Amino acid sequence: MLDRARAGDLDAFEQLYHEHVGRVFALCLRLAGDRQRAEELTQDVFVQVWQRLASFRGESAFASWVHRIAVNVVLTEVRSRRRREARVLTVAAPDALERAREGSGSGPEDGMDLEREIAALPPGARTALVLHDIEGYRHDEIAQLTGVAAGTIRAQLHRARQLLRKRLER
Amino acid sequence: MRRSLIVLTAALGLFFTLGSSFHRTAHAQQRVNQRQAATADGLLRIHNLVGSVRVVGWDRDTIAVSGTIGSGAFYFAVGKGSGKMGVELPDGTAQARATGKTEGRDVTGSTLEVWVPRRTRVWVKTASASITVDDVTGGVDLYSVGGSIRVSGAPQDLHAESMDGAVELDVTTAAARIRSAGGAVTLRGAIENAVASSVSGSITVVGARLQRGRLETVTGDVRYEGAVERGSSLDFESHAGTITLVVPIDVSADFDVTAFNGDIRNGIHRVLPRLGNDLRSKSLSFTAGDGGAQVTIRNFKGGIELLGR
Amino acid sequence: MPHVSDVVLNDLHDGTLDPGVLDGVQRHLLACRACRARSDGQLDLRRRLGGLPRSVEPQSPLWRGIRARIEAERPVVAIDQAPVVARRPPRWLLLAAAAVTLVVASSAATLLLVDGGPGRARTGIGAFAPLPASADPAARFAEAEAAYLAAATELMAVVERERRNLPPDVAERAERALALIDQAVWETRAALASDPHNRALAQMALTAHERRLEFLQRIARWSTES
Repeated sequence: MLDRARAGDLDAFEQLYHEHVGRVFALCLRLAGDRQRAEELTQDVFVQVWQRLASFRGESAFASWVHRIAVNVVLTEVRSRRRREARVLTVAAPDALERAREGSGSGPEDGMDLEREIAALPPGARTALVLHDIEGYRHDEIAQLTGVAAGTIRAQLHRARQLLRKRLER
Repeated sequence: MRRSLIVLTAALGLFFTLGSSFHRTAHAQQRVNQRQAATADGLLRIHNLVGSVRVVGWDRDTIAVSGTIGSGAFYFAVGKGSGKMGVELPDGTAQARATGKTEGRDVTGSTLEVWVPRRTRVWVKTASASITVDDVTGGVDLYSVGGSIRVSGAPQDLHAESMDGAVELDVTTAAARIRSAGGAVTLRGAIENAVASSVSGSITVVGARLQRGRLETVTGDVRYEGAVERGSSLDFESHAGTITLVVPIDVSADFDVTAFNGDIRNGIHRVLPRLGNDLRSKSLSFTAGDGGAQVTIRNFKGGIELLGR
Repeated sequence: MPHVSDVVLNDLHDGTLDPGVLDGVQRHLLACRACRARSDGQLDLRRRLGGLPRSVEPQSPLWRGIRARIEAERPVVAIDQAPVVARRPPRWLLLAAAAVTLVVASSAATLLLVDGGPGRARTGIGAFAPLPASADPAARFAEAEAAYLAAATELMAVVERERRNLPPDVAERAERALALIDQAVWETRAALASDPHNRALAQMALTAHERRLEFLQRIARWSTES
């Protein structure tokens, strides 16, 4: 299937898409905290996977390779979005992003407290938590992916867990 | 027994004719010491049901055998490109191959030590006799019901099958296929493609370098201790045995681990196992280091341990 | 020792705590109920996070949009010349091929019964061919299982007919091993019955069938070559 897709067969690529879309969408949803954005990001991920198929050399599992592309696509988008929104929201109102996110409503699975609370975390804390506690990346790997110091990642992770516990205890 | 010999001979019949020197020995505990010229890369089939067989590769175009013949008749024939050797039990004693007893009579085992041109393809079949093969670079096919099997050296490929005997390999080879039921299997060396299966016997891989590996048991434990080669693919599967991997703490591999009813202990990465929708199975999927190798582990009701060293 | 902070507890559970203070923290946790409760709370959160589904299907169909974007940007993909590392395909994808495999396996088994020499076929099992992925996995499993069972029944008949050739203790050991394999088949089959779309479970159930068939082949070979 992979070889056929690499040779340009879109039907084969569709099957790969169906095999991997669940994991990619879950990652996008948790990192973006918003269903509509997650759907857009998922599309971006698979377009990039298609474009980069020729460079996949089979040295790691295809699923892991797709996953790394997904993380990069989402983090790049989150960074540029944050820059865009920062210009509008001003640096003096750092919590506005968090409130804006909370106000955006739908979490990954309505009725699932934990998913909803993850979606409501501040972006940096959410990224650290999703990548570390759910996806299993190490502090240094997250630092490398996000361009943020490992010490900051640890602090964000700690903050994310504290916020989650408080909110879940409410 | 006779039928299988006829079949074996027929299968090879067109390619060789039996040599004129055909020796038979029918006396109990008789020593044997014979040698015959042979081609460098021929085939040698050895049958010895009870006792032991040791085959050693050497740099001469001669097959030599020495040992002690117990019950039965010794035969040794070398033809064009292949030969056969073994001990045939007297009529009526075949039923006792594994137990060593028949109708109140003891069957005395035969001990054969055989030197073969290094590139010979060696085929050995025993019942309770142990098999040892050293320094053969041709292919090796070994079958035993209850005897142990030990191989060292660099055979071209290797097939070892025992029901209850232990199988121990320390080899460099392109392909090894090992099947056991109750016997323990131990692998060392460098094997490009290894497939080992067992029922209740354990499978242990110690310090071996496997490029492709599939190790599976029903109730036997599986233990893999050593490095995971870059680009390699290792599959572990058990129904109820414990699967333990002890790998370098800086291992680079993609792990895909599922325990349907047992526990997963992950000592090489901080990612925690996630619970399946059935609220019982656990799975773990993560990339350690840079990835680059695939490790897949499935266990139905045994535990899984991933340990760093 | 003063109470352990949440930051330290996090480091402890992450495995990044300074080894110099590790012992002291662990000793304190054993003695201090309050800190232990906070530690348990943190672990509980991690368990809950670890238990979240790894895969979430999007509600909207996204493929059409992806395909449109790819087609708009074509041609982009070149066939890579680099060698691809061959991997064993996941068996669940290949279930329907197991029916074909069984024919091969069964033929191989028959071959083994008449040809025990070194040139014989090693095994027919595992010689899977790619399948169309459109078929229903549960249906493919049922088809493959039926084929395995048919082949096993055929071999059982050979074993029953020839087992008198096996020494009693060998037959007994073979039966014990077969009982373990049968138990594995039964247990995986029962688990699959309650979760019929679990692909990994289907794979394990087929592996159990495959083991059973392989083992029957071996007994049949021992019996007929005796």
